[in-house]
Amino acid sequence: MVASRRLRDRLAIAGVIVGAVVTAGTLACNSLIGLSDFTVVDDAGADARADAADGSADAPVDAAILAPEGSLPAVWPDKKMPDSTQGASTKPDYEIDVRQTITFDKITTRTWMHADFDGITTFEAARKKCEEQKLQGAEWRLPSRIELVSLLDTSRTTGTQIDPSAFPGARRGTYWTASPVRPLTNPVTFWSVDFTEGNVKIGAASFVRCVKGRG
Amino acid sequence: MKRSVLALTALAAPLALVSPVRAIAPPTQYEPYLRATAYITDTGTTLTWHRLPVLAGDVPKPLNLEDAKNACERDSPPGARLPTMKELLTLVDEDPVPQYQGKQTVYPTIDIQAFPETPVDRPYWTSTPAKDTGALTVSFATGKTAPYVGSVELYVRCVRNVKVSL
Repeated sequence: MVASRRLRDRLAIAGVIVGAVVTAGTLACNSLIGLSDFTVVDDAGADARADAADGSADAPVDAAILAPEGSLPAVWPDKKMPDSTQGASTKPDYEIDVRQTITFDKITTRTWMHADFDGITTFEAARKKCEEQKLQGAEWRLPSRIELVSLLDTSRTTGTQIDPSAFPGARRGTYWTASPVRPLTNPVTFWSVDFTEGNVKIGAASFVRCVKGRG
Repeated sequence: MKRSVLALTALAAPLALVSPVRAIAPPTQYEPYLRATAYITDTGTTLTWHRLPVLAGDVPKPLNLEDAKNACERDSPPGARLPTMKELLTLVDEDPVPQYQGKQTVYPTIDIQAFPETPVDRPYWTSTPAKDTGALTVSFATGKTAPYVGSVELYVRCVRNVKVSL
């Protein structure tokens, strides 16, 4: 904030000096135009929104489609992203309870099922499985997209892309999130995370690992 | 009188339905920034992002994987690098709003106010190696990830572990 104000002051001073020198006037204008590029793009976005609002854009409008029960709104990261990949800033740090039923992620402060459910299910069945889960208290739920991404271990060159000591028996395949793919389509689809490939993709029948807790 | 009210309601109702309820990241997600701010710090992940992708002149420039890594690492001041896939995925807006790009309406899956210059006609490189060759990429057109061979020219947005003091 302070740095930005200083930058702005510097720009203002530069503007005055350059403004006095007629031959350098062109340069000053160029730099000013460069700064206002952000404005131009913002305005383009506003135009697009206005067009979508009056129906003149041919893009899908999802207002008529309702997200099913259990759908999460857009979720933004509230903690650092644990990542064992070379160069990443934050290493994963898990704690497993003595009974080996839950895995606590000390970075994201989420509590995960240590073992997942057997078998692939529909989204609706997955949601119910988490709601009915009573392991160490209730309030289990399907993870959001970014929460499930936080479990990926993309540093592994072979096998399932997850830490096997924190999550033994993890399956090769996709796991459900409760984040719908937006703009909403008919029927509504949900994001899944593929622990075979280490990818984020649109979900079909998937495995289930429930989470609880927030940042 | 009644007719005009009805007409107004008919006009206003669809507008109310499609007007974006929550267009961008919540106000506390990114540290306050101005129009000319060059780096944006995510208060959740604490990562500092280059607001603009790597440019040629003032146009976003697609690069191959090797050049993408070099472009970030040679940036001044030092400390910039290519993000990992998990890091780049933290920028994804799961509820994108429409924006005009290349004469069509797209839904960039990123906060278009924080990162207004985000062309989505190609994915963005990450430093996370793909299983066979090349690296994983993130598409801000769809929010999906995919492996690409290193020779393909894709967009680049650099990241830093620490803030830049201007």
